[in-house]
Amino acid sequence: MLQLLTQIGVNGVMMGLVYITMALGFTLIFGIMRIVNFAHGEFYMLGAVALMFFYAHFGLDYFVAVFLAAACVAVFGMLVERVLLRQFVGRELNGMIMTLAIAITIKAAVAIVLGPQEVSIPRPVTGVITLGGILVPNDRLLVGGVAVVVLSGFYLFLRFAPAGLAMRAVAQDWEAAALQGIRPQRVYLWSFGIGCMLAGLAGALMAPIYTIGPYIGTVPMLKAFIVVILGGLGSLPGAVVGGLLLGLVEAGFATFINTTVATMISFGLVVAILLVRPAGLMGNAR
Amino acid sequence: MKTWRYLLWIALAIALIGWPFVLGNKFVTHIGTLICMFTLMALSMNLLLRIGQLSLAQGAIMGLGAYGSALAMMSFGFPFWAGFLLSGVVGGLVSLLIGPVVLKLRGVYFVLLTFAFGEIVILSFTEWVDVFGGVNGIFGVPRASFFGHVIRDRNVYYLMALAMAAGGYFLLRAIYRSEFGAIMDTLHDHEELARSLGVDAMAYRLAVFSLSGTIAGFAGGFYASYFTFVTPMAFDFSNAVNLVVINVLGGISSPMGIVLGALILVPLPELLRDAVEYQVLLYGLVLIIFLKFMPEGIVGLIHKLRGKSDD
Amino acid sequence: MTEPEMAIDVVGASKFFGGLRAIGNVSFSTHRGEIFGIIGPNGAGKSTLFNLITGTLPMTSGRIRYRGTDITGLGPHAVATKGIVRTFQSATVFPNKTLEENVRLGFLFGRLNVPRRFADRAHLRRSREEAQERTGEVVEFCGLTEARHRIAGDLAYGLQKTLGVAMALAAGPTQLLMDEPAAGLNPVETRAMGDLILRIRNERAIDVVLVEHDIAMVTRICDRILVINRGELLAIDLPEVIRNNPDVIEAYLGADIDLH
Repeated sequence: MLQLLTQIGVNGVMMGLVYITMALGFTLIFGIMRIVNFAHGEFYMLGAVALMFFYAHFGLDYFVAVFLAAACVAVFGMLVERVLLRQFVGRELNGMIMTLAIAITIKAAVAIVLGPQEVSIPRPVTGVITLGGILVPNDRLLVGGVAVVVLSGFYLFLRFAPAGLAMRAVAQDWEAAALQGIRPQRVYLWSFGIGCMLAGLAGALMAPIYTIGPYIGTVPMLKAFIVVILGGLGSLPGAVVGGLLLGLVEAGFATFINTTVATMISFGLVVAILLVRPAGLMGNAR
Repeated sequence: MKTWRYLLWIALAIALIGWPFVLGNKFVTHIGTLICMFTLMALSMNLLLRIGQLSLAQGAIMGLGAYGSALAMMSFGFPFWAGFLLSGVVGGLVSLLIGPVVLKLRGVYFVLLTFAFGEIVILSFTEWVDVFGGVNGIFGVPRASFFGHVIRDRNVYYLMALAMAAGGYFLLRAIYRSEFGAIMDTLHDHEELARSLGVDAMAYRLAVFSLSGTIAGFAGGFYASYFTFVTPMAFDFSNAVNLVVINVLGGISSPMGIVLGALILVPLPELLRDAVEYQVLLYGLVLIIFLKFMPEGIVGLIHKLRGKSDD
Repeated sequence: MTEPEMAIDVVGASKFFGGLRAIGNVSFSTHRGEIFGIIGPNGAGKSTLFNLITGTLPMTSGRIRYRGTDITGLGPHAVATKGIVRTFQSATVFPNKTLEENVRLGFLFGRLNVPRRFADRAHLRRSREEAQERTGEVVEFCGLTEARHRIAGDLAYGLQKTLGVAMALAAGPTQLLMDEPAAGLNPVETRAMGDLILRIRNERAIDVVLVEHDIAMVTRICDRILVINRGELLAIDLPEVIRNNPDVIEAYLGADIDLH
């Protein structure tokens, strides 16, 4: 039993790390721009598609390909922010509709270019390692490892880099930040770029494990939603806690009952939390 | 001037009622029916957008109406009229029940909450196979019938849909022109002022939410008997998104905008059936362009052009 | 001399934000026929106290009665239907409608406070008819007749604030609560606003409570003044007494306001 629980715990944490990567970008964008990015799943999908080109088609080294894919998505995200989203900063409802429109468009464009079918690419690593009876697939371990490295880097960036400090300042109090001479425009650009990069990274990391196609962004997007509401919209620590929580809960329910029940329960939890504590488990009410 | 107006309305009414019989093209009649149905749904969404509360559960409410009437007719032997009536009651009642809770939230939180609620409803349809038939939904829903006479003629369905859309259109127009509409408008931006003058904002929100739900439920009831099948897919979150697209394209400030929006957008998927992706791409691009350059929609554009020619 | 009849009666009102006390155990009552001023230095809790009476903020503890009826815990719209109508510190109007339409809605919103009023067609028709008469009268009373067809959002700030008062009057109050009626007005407009408030009490028999920064205006038009400082009641008295109260002067010294 203990071994089973540990196995569930490991599975949950592995999945949770991916959820955190998705959710951090989502919550960062909302915290800073007050825009709910309904296109977040599409940036995930673009990351996967980019990886497919760099890794499977051009034959680049896996790590180089992941890096390039994430960078491409970041640049694309910044372009989207500059051209389409900037005028909607702070206008929650219209901003949300705009991201919906962007999501529809990206999805359709990719479907036209690549076709609607889903494809698989070879996995960079295979096999399983066993640690004290716990099975961990190597590819999952790789994803988890990269996620940990990136998330630590992101933490250090927010903690020490001037740009990161500016982001946190804007997220906390827009006006105070502007008074200190921080230019919000630039912060929006970088935040959206980094948010999209994290989504693209998650997509690139998961691409070899799952399949790649225009519609693969929907489920990760839903997960990011759930995680972010659990943790509190706009709260970075909340996204970390929420991601781990969702990963563990899903792993548990998937083992003992089934995944649909797990999804139902997570949505039920979302409803309950929004009603009782709209700011989320970790967030402070504004 | 006034006589001309009346004549124009009568001519329009005759044209709207008569064209399928003159044209005699089944496919075009089908598209006309869809336009009417989506107009009705988009009007139900417009009620909510007017008070600043975008509900992504609108498709799910329509689905509850559709499944409700389908099951009532198939499992409990309800006649069509009773099943259809029930679809509106289900939509309205569900809204009335969840309203007091969900309407406490505003802005993005309301959107996310209705999104989650909609997903739960759709997941229930999908997973509760015994009752709702799972992913495949329910097939063989009885067609509409009046006095024991089963309706098979597409033109009659078109007329039913037209009557519903026209009813919704005139109902909303009457509401928006009355003080009720004035109160609704203040709920969006000036709620505090309205409340200070004695308006029970929550009661009004609930009334609007329930009316919107009733309309969506009726649309669902019609859907079930027109298509004779219901599937969860038809009522998922993209349904609500389409309604938002119609509203943004037409312009949320007037019901006429909704009609125009539906008239332009609904035929697209049917005309571009072999190239669904292109249609969706067009949807997205149109939406982006309108949001960025014409946030008031077609109606706003018309007003602008008119304003200029008046000067 | 007979005991004055009570209008608003606040007993032991307290308000905490988290652990922070904004209002601590404040009790007072206003009289019928009186213009009652609430003053205090910045951050003293004037606005909080105001919002407790209007029902905008729920009280942590305490009770409020109006003309003998308990109104504790009622929301803003319910308070309004009891006859207590408030005005706002900033100009708060429906900006896209004409001045006249604003006033008309001010009357009708109170009559149509819940959706089911629309089911009563007779009530609706009667209300619309009355609205026409009432609107013209109120617009004239407030001296807004000339601007009545203009769009409210285009009006000068002073006119918009007067319009706010007109809307409140149209709602048919027995008690007016005014949040800084002089804020943002120039001296001429302030004087006119003061005169309007006096006429509201004298000619319409509406009791007035106002929260105000402009001490000169308050001492000119108010019958009694309540001074609040750090969330506590400092004094309630006639204007001339308040002006010479050493505690009040001390409380204001830090704020550097001349009481004379």
